[in-house]
Amino acid sequence: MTPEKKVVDVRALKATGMIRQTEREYFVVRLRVPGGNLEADKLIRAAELAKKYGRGYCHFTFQQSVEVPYVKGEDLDRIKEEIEASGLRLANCGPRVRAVTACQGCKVNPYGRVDAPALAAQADEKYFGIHCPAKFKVSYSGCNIGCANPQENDLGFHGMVEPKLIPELCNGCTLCVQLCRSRAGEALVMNEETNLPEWIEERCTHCGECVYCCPTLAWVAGRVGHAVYVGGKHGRFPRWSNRVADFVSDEDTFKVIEHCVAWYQRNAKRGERFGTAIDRLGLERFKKAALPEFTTVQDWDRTGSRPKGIEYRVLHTWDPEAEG
Amino acid sequence: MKLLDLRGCICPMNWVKTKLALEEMESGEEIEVWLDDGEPIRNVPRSAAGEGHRVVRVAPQDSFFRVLIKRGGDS
Repeated sequence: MTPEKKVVDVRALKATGMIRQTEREYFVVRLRVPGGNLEADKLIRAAELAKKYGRGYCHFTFQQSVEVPYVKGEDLDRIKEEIEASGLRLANCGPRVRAVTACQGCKVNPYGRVDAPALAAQADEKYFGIHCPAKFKVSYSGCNIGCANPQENDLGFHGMVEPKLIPELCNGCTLCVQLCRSRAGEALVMNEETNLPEWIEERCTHCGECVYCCPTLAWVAGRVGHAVYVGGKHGRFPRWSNRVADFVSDEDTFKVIEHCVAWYQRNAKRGERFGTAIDRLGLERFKKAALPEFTTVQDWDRTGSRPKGIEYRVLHTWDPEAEG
Repeated sequence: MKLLDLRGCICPMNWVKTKLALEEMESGEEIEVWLDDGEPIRNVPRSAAGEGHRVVRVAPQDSFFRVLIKRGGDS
């Protein structure tokens, strides 16, 4: 122990992912895991760091970061060196763009339509740490199930697909129509004359269920892109986000992030979250100023994230007896 | 016509049973399979089609689906 007291800039440490705990002599060291994917070797390194500097356990945060709690203040410099040497990176905290989160995406989950974690990693590389009026969270989900909570992030994306029918391949089995009824919202109806399903665009949630389930591969993916949600947050005053654009391409999601962050920096007050600033200045004004080139396909029900007027029907019944 | 009630049978056992039944049938013969909503109805028809059989018709019931599958030609 050195006798002279070292002055610690807690705020600067926080910005680099080293956050003082309630027990003030300890810090939690937050590691950056963009998209929730971490190489096994790095995960082992994180575990070793927890054993060496912490209390032998790691904490998984809701932002998909891995934290090493109970690191002593005097060890911070050393743990930082070791983190950098092992290829791990520190995350952040405070008023800036946080580590970008994602679900497993289309490569792992059959429901997925886009490669969410890959895009999250790219976005994280570009925008992580940019200074903002308050925290700014970005998430990518593979489909409209939205496991990465697009509606509760400052900026959320989820994959969406426009189905296209190849009539010659369809044998009229009606499976897509049946599944659509319970999944999307009766966006497909059977045409009795042609014995082919018909797509009603304004009812479609673009989940891609028809493309996935079709036994004859008659449904194929036409356009694939991302839906964009802005201004979501949870916390004491949760705010459900607004859907502002559809079918944004992979590349354009980065443009959306750039434009939103720029608007946020220019227009929000210090400490004001993105959604609060949008509410204060008006959604239409925000859209016109920040995202003039993007639009939504249809009017979305804000509470249910589905086209207005579409009711959800559940065919599935759960029988605990049958599960044994 | 054969009937296979696979309600309560989970993936992938429902597909295994369907596949075994199809293998015992003649080409062009049909079988009716009862499948639960959820993963079974999403996956079994697709798997059957992937092996060259033909999903002829799907009829929804209260809590399950009746699926008519026609045995494909031998390949």
